[in-house]
Amino acid sequence: MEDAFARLSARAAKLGKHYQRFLLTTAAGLSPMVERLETLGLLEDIDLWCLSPTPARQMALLDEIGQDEREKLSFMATYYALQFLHMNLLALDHLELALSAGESRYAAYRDFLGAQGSNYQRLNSAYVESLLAHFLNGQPCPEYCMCVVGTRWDQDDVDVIVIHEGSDGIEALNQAIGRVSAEFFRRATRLHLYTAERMRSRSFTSDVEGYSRRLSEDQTDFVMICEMLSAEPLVGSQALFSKFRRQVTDRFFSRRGKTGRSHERFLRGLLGEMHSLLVEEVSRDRIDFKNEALRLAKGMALAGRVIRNLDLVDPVTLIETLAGHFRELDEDLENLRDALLFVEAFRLLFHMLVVQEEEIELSEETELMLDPVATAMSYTEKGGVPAVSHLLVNYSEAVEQVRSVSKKLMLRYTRYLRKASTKAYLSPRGSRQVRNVAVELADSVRMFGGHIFFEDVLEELQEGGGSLAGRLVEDMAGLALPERERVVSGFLEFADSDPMTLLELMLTIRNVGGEVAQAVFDTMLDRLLEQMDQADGGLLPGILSVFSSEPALVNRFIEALRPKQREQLEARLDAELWDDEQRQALANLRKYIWLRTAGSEFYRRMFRRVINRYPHFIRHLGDPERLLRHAAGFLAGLESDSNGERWRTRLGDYYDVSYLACAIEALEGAPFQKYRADFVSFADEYMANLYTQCKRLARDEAGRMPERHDLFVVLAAGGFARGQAFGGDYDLIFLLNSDDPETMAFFRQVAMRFHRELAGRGTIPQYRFADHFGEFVVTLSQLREWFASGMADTVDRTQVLGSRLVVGNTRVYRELFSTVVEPEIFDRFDRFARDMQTEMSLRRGACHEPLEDRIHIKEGTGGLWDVEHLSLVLKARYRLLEPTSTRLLELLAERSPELREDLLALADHHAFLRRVRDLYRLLVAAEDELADGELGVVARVLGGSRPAEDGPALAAMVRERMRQVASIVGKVLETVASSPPSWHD
Amino acid sequence: MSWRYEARLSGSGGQGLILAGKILAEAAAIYEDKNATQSQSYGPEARGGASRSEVILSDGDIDFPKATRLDLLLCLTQEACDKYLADLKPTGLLIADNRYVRNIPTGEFKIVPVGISDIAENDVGRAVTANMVALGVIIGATGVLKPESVEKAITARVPRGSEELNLKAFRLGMAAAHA
Repeated sequence: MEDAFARLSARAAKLGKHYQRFLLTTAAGLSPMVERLETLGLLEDIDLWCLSPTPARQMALLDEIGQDEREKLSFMATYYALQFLHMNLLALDHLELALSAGESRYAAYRDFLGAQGSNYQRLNSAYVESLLAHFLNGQPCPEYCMCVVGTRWDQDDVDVIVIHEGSDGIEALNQAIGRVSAEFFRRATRLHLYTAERMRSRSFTSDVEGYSRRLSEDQTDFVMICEMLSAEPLVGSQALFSKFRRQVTDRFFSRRGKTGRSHERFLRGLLGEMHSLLVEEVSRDRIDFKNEALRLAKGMALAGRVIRNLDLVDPVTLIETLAGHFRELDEDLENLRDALLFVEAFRLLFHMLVVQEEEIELSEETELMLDPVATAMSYTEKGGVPAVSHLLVNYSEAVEQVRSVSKKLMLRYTRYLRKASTKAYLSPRGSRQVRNVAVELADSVRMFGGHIFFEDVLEELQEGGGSLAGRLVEDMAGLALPERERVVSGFLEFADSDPMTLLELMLTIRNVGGEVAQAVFDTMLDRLLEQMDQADGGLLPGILSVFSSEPALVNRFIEALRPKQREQLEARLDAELWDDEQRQALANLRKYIWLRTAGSEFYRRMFRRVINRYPHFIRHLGDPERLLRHAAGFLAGLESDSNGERWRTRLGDYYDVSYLACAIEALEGAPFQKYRADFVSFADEYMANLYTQCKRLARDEAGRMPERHDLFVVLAAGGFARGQAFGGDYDLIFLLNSDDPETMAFFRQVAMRFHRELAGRGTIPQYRFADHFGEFVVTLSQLREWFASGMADTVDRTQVLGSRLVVGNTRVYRELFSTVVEPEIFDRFDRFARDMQTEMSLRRGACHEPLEDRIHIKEGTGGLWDVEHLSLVLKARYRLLEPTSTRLLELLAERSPELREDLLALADHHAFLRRVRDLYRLLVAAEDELADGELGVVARVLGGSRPAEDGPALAAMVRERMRQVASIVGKVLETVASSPPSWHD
Repeated sequence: MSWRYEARLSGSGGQGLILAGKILAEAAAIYEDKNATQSQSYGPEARGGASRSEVILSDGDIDFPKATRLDLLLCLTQEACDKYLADLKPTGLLIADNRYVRNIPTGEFKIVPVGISDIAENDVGRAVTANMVALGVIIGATGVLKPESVEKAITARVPRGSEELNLKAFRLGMAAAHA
């Protein structure tokens, strides 16, 4: 016997430490029990070293052979402990065998859970029955039924309810139950009588009428109702249990597809709770079996059960049966079943092998702790990835599956409620009979403390031409002020439990339009903000959950606020939160609001366009690099969409999202070189792809391509050529190196389409040479003639000299340089330099400087054009192909030792001025005349890397830098103009 | 055949006509899903008394991006009127600031003389809003774009805090066109 016990102890070592007490119980009670059994010749009648198929009979026998109460209880407890250990160890062995045999993982989990559930209930039933018989000790007692509720294989406690009939001997029964509970707690686990706690009577049990009465008093305690609905007899009268079902729980089921009041109230409460769970964000560093997956899966299954009136309790079987009823969701329900099996198995194994906790904080230590669980579930290390990692990934997938299918089921149940609801206001005919829709709705919400399913009501409010919503607003307007306040308070019950529904409701009301609707919205907002002020900002986590899970909704909500209201909301976002994930969500929300509201309309227009179309990008606003990667994703598969029109949308989305990402980079204080490089990169990429698509369309329309279709280029000119970000337009030159009319006609079509698409993105392209030639496309020969004839003015020359190849053949571009730029500009440097100097002074004069409170950052003295025109002069002087940019100045500094210091200083000033200009466009207005008074917001963004921290200081700094630029430019121009052109290598 | 509308806004440099042209083009291209091109005079041209900003609107493709037969000519200076009137179609519309454009040759075209600068200075209170008044007159007189589209484009272009002033100027311009 010692050997057998030693072997059992050794095997039990893999179980969690909380199983040790069963070994201790066995160690203490086994010898006397065995001795008694041997004395009575009954040793063979008791299964000591294997799982018994008849524990009830064996338990009763042990109760009989004990000589006194102490001995009886000890024998029963020892037997229970042995059976309990065998049960768990056997289950683990069977699971390992099933998984190693290559069985379907989910089938193996199902068998494991099923066997654990039924064996555990059988064992508990035997123990409770024996204990009850022992403690009742023959006293008369009423007919009773003790039912198990809750998850059958849960070992951390056993949830039960007790029903009785008749009053004779009730005290004896009650006392016996109390003693059973105490003994069970000492020897097995807690017997949890939740419902007894809720019944408000000093008793462990109640009769059927008592339960029925309790539910009539409070039909919102759906946790209690859920327990009742999941009840199955553990010990006692089956007939009594049937009566209980008929008189207490049947009312919660639908009858022939229709709802009764109890059914609907329960369903709304249950689905309201499920809705709240769906809004909560899944934690990234914690596992929470119940709140992330189990309550959702089981709750949605239970909702289906009462809707379809199914006589099934086990959630897994229930989900399978529902798949037959909701055929359009059959595959989803199978996935839900598998996800549920996975999570239940994971949880149970965690309880068995590690600890009986519902939440697991994920860290390196806990990942080690999960190793035995992963092994038991047959995960192994693969490719250097530990088994636990695979387990955790599958867990995340299961949670996602549960949530995804739950959302689909939610829609299904919404449809059901819209058809079958007893709520009068949900039908046009019924609503006429309702005195006040607002009062009715608010009372419903209040009854459930905000835990009420409201999706069908919201749908009705939002659809049907808004007639119900209009009626709601009208009815509210007709109420006296105290009553109206009461209605608002009712709706605000959602704030704590379901802020998502509250925000939707508020927006729906506001969208009715008109003064009254706006006033109601404003009142609800005021009260919501007041509630956020109270009690440690308790509403804030809920709002943050909504922001994380439904950013589109929060986006719409913020858009609906007036500026003052937005400020009031922002002021309440200053709370201290203890949870890391909530703190991050709060930071994201603050950033989102700032990015949404802080900039110029020029920038906000793009922000709104992207976020209204892709609200989930709100989550990535703090990570512009990620936005850029997402944007690139739109380009993927562009070729495969070429046959349809989707390419237009995808390419446009690529442009918009990239644009926004670069703007956010700039607003976040990224260095000028970084966001500028990203901007030029995406703009060029966009144009290259756009060109390809436009060429394809032109080819499809013409039926063919011209023989030579490699003679067309798109050149950037003006600011875009210089890498200017966020410009007010794109200066482009469409250049064709051919005079063939057919080729010209073809590329005219390409250019027209190109223009239209690009203009649609919000930045209108401009074509300098279209002014001269009346065509989008100019030929190289036309340009040659134009320049040779002397008709080309300074602007023409700067456009061509400063151009940059974006799309097309470098040979064409080089030919432009060799046949136009070199002879007409490089070889006529003196004239060019002179003309540029004249242009510069005329331009400065036209700016009517000095201006007291405005700065012409582009065209003024020492402004961007001064630098850029000097760069062009130097480019001509040194006959360079390099595009005009800050980089050109740095290159020139390397080649001109005598000008090096000045050019490097100029490069620095140029970068600074460009950054100020870019930020001004994004933050204030899309113009090049900066108002001193508006520079404060620019200074704040620059603050991290520049000393100027307020507007006037920044204005002074800009003026000083422009003064220095003017001085350097003048000096360099003099030097360059006076010395003959020579090539410095 | 698609609709094509050619407009030229002309005056002296510094009257904000380039901005007005951009606003018209953006109102069409961004807020009304039309096609638009926009061009302007550069450099010395832009600083003279006959600087110009041109906008071509269309509901289809624009094959010829140069404005040569104008449907609309806005002139804020006499010099601009003298220089560009010949490009106006016989069925076109001339809108002239009657403070500065005193001599308007007659023709088949329709003339709408409006005190654009006067409205800007006296009713709006800022001479610099003449370009917005002019835009309002254009939209009021032609209906070529929806006023709300133009207002959105104005809001997107002007500094924060000045939206109401510029919109007021625009709306006064529209009212003046109807008067």
